[in-house]
Amino acid sequence: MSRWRARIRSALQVWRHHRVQALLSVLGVVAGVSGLVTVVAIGEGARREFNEAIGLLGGGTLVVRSSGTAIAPERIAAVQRILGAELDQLVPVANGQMAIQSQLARVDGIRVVETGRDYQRAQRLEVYDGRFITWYDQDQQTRVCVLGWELGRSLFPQGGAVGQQVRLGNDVYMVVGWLAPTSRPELDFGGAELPDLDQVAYIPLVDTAAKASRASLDELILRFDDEADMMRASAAVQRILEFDTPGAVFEYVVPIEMLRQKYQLQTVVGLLLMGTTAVMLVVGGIGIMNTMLMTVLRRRPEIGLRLALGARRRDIIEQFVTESALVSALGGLAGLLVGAIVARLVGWQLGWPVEVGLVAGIAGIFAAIAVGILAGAYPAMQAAAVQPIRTLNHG
Amino acid sequence: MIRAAGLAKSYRQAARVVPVLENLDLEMAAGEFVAIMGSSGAGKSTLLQLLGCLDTPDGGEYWLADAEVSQLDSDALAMVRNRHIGFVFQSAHFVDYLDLVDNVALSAEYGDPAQPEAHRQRARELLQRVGLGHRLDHLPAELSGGERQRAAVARALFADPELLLADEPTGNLDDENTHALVGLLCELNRDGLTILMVTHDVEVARIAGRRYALRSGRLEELDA
Repeated sequence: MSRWRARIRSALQVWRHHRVQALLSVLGVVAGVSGLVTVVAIGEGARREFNEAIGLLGGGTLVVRSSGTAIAPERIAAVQRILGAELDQLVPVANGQMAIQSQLARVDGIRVVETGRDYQRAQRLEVYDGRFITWYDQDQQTRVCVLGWELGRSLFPQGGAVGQQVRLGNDVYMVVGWLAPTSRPELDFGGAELPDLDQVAYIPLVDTAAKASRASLDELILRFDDEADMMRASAAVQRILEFDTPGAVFEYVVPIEMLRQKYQLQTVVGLLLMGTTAVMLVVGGIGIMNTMLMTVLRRRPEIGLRLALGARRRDIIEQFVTESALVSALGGLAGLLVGAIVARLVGWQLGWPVEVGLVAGIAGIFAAIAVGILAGAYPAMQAAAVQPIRTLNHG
Repeated sequence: MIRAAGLAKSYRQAARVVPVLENLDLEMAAGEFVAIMGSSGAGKSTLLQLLGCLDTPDGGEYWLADAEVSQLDSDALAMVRNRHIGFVFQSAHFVDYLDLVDNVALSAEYGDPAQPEAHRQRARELLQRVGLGHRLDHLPAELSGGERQRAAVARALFADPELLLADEPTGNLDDENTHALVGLLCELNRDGLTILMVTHDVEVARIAGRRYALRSGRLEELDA
């Protein structure tokens, strides 16, 4: 142990004395490790987002949207009847957009979701204060509303939204619930498939048979036990909804599939970056090897001296490999720092989640040390082959 | 202390073998001071390499402090160098990034790397002894030629060796520094250290108890 401590101490002294040389030799490693950290951070971020989103959305979720024509209530009943036990949840939704106003503030163009109590479970919504919509609200057509987290903050900056009144369009509603912030990650699929649930006002969806008089019933959320069940049932859902309904345009959104596509894109970009990173690390290794070869040439008298003082060839090899690994590891540490910054910039620019964590750090340092050991091995062999007396007498 | 019998060493140059040492004999008692002289290319460095356990002979026997070392493997030879032999070279090489104390204590890295502070203390004492107490934290590049050679002697004494091998120790020094170094070597020899010195300088060689000339791969005692 003390032998290795002495090696590391000696290596630190070498590089402290030759700072500029050390700096120049590790630039490639800094670039390579920062690239590696960026790639791992993007991969980890994508994986985390994927797993979280699957947990929140569920693998067996199918969202059906209609544009132009309302979904007929009897079709919804048919879906429920035919799929029966296969279907875990069926949540009809009517989406609207209007202004909402409290005594303190007014917000225009917010999304109003008319739905039932099952929506809360389907979207994994948590109540911060009060409650969500109930059967009673739907049955009695009560004028109550539940606010998303951000909307509640906009309308009632001082808090205490529950129990207050708001005006939706021309109607006055009692706020009975305020939802907690959703932990669902931002999922931008190029449209409004998965809107920001924190900016929504929820009101009870009244008897679907009477819907024609209010906003169109334009969305169905269907939840199955798993993805396989959902895929099996989706064809039947499509047939039931589209049968004999000319002019109706339905959109079938499978969140897990969209997540997968996004994840695959990130994986492909990650692999391309990984290739570039590998090249940079090789170049970095060559840079270190070059420096170490010059170092061995310059330090031949020192090597001869160490051999004369009792160093074994193995000691000389260990010393030079330690120096190489150490300088590369220091470059790796710098690469970690640069990589963490680059990863965050990439995430910020492309809107991708990145996670610079332990995995990225360990991978970066491990790669740097491995490059240092490989790059230092050949120069170290050269160093160990030095003939002491000749070197000491003739330099 | 030293018994070399029939030592032989040759080198291969292209297709032919060049003998450097042939059937060389040498005996030195503990506490002796021996000087070896010889022209360039006579094999002085090769002889020092063998006596200093930096190489193994092609033939013959070499006994150091009652142990036959000519058949030892390279790791065992490294240990012998570390514990039993001190070297002073013509060019006083040092590790340029270490201060004088660390340079003098360098051999501890290959012997007993634990207790670094105890080693540094011993190095300080040795530097005081050779008159370099005011240069302890200096880098080697900051020393004069004479100071460097005295520091090299301090380094050679660090492991308290039985044998000191000096290869042209005054070769790069002016008269004043040569005189000081010779005085130091005589003092060490008076204290009981066995010294074998290779030199071109006849005057310097006179301080030795016995003098040899290396000719045709063998030692011939002068003034015998």
